[in-house]
Amino acid sequence: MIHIKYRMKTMLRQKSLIFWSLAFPLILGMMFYFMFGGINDLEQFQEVPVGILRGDSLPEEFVTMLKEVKTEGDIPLFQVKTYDTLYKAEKALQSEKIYGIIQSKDDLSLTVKSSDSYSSLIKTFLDQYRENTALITEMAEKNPDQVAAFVTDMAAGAQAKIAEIPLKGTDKDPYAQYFYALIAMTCLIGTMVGMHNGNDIQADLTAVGARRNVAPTPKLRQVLYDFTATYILYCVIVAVVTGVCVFVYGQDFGQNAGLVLLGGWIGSFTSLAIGEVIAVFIKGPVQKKEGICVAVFMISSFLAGLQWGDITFIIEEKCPVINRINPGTLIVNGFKSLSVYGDSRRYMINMVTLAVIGIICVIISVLKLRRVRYESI
Amino acid sequence: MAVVKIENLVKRYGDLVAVDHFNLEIEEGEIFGLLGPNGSGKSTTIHCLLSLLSYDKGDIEIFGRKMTPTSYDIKKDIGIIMQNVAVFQELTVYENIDYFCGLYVPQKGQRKKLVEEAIEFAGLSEFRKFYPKKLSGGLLRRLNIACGIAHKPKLIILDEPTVAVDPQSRNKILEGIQELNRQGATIIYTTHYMEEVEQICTRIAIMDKGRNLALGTKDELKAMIDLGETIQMEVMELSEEVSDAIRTLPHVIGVSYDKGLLKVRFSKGKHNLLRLLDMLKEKETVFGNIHSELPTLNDVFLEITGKELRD
Ligand SMILES: Nc1ncnc2c1ncn2[C@@H]1O[C@H](COP(=O)(O)OP(=O)(O)O)[C@@H](O)[C@H]1O
Ligand SMILES: [Mg+2]
Repeated sequence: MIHIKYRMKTMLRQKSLIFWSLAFPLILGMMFYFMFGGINDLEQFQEVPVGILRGDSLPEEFVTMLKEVKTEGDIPLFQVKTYDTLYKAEKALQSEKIYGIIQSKDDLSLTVKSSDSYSSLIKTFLDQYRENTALITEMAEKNPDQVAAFVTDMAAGAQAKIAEIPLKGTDKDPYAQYFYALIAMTCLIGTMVGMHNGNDIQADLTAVGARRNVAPTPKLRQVLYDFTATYILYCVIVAVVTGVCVFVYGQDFGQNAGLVLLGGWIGSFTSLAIGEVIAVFIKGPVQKKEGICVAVFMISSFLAGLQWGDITFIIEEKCPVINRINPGTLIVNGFKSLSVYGDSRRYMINMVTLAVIGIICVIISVLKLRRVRYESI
Repeated sequence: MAVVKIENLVKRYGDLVAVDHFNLEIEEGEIFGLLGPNGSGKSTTIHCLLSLLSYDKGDIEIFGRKMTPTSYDIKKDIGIIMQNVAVFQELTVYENIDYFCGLYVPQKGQRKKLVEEAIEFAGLSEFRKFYPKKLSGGLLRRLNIACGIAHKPKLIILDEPTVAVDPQSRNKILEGIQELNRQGATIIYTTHYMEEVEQICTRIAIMDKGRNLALGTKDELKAMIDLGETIQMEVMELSEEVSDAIRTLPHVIGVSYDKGLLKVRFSKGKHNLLRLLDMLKEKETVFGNIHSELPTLNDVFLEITGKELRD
C-alpha cells in the first residue's frame, strides 16, 4: 500500500502532468462549451431532406405522409425536395443536399449515398409505409368501408413510431463527437504518466530506477504497484473530466454515460501501457520521450477528430486501418457507435481492440523490463 | 568469512575495459576504501557487485552466497548510496526515506521507527517536510544516504557520497559512516579524495584503469613506496649550482623549484632536514618558511601510476 500511496503522490505533485491530464481537457471542454453554445438542445433536430422526381407516379397519400409526418417536438421529419431529373437528384445526393431519393419503381425504391443515420431513418419510414400499404390493400378487399378510418389511425401510429427514431438512432447532437474526442485525449495523455512509470524503474535511465533495482522488492512487483497507483488515479481523472462534461458543460451522453466512462477507463489502461512501452523501448533522454508522448496523444486525438470532426470519414475512405488501431479513434468510434448507431456490438469490438492493444503493450514491456542485468549504466 | 568476494571481474564497454581482472575480499567490520581517480572503474565495479550490470567474466559472492539480480535475501541486508542522488523530487525528506525503506521493511510500525532514526542520524530533523530541491547540496547528500541506510543494512556501499559537499557536511558524513561501522555495518567506500580514505578507512584498494593496483592499510601502502618525506621551503632565488648541490645530498630523490618554492623529496632516512639546512647556509642561500610532509596516498598513487590522483 505504501508504494501505491507514494506513487500517487509522486504523480499528483507533478504540476505539468496534472495540467495536461486534468486542466487541459477541462479548458478545452470549456472552449467547446462556449463555441457551440447551448449544445444540448433536443429541439434542434433538423428535417431530413429527401428528394423525389417530378412526374414520378408516387402514391399521393405517401407524398402527403412524407410531408406531414412530424417529430414529437413538432418539427417536420422530412423536407421534400422535387427534382426535374434523376441526374439532378443524384448530384444533390452526392453533395449531401439530400440524404435519399425515393422513386416509385419497384414498389418504392430508395437510393442513398451511404448508410448513415439519416438514410436509415428514410428507410425505416419507407418500410413502415410498405408494411401498412399491404395492410391497406388487404383491408380494402375485405372491409372496404373501414379503410378510410384505418388509414387515419395508421398514419397516427406510424407517426408516433417514426417520431421515436430520431431520439434513438440519429446523431441528434453533432457536437458530442468533440466531447468524445476530448475524453479520448484525456485518456491518451496517460501515455505521459505511463512513460514516467517506465523510466523510474529502469536502472540505466534514472537514479531512482537504480536504487529500486537493488532493493529486495522484486522489480515486476514494483512495476505492478506503479501501474496500479497511476491507473487508479487516471480512472479518477477520466471520471472527473467526463463528469464535468456532463454536469458543467451540459454534454448529455444519455443512458450511455456509464459506457462512456467504462470506455474512458479502458482507454486509460491502454494509454498507460503505451507510455510504458515508449519508456522501455525508445532510447534517449526523458525530454525526448516526453516529446514523443505529446506527439502520440496529439496525433492520435487529431486523427480521432478532436480538432476537426470530418477527419475520421476521410481516413475511413483513404486508409481505414488507421481507424481500426488508432487508440483515439477506437475510443471515439466506440462512443459514437453507442450514441449514433445504438450499436453495442460495435462498441464492444472497439473496446476489446483497445484493451488488446493495451495488454500487448503491457506484455512486451514486462518482457523487456524483466531482463535482469543491464548492459550499461 | 568474507562479506564481499570479487574474483577476476572483467567488464567491457565495447573496446574499453572498464574493470580489468579485478579481485577483492572484504571482511566483516571493515571500512574498506576504494580509491581511484575519475573513470578508474569504481562505480562500474560497484554496479557489477550489485548485479545491476552484466559483466564479461568473474565471480561475485556477498555474505558467502553467489550474488544474482534475484538474490533478494542478500539484497535486503545491503544499503546502497549511489554516486548520483536518487530521490523523488515530488516527495518530501520524510516520504523519500519512508518510501525507500518500504522496499526493505514492509511492516509499518517497524518502519516508522527506522525512518525516524535515519532522519535523526542524518541530521535532517528540521527538514523532514522539505522537498529535495529546497535542500542544499550537503543536505541532499545526507538525504541520499538516509534513504540508503534506514533499513539498518549489514553491508553499506557508498559511491562517492561527498562529491560537491561543503566541508561541514562532509565531516558529518564521514563521522556518520564511522558511527554506522561501530554499530556493526561493514562499509565499502569509494572516492577520489585521498584525505577521506586516510581519515576513515581500515583498508584501502588503489584502483586505476579498472585494475586493483595496491591493497592494504594506509601505512602498509605508504611503506610500499620509497618516499620518506617531502620538505618544502620558500627560497627567494635558487641558482643551478645550489640545486645541483642539493641533488647530491644523501636520500634525495627529487628537487623542484617553482615560483619561489623549493620542494625536495627524500627517500626514507634520518637527518634529512638538518643536512639540507646546513647545505643552504653554506651556500648562503636565504630561505623563509619551512614545511615538512610525510608521504600521502597521492604519493603512493604517483609512484605506482606515474600520474597524480587528481586531474
Ligand atoms: N555506460 C557506459 N558506456 C561506456 N563507457 C562507460 C560507461 N560507463 C562508464 N564507462 C567508462 O568506464 C570507465 C569507468 O567508469 P566508472 O566506473 O564510472 O569510473 P569511476 O566511478 O571510477 O569514476 C570510464 O572510462 C568510463 O568512461
Ligand atoms: Mg563513479
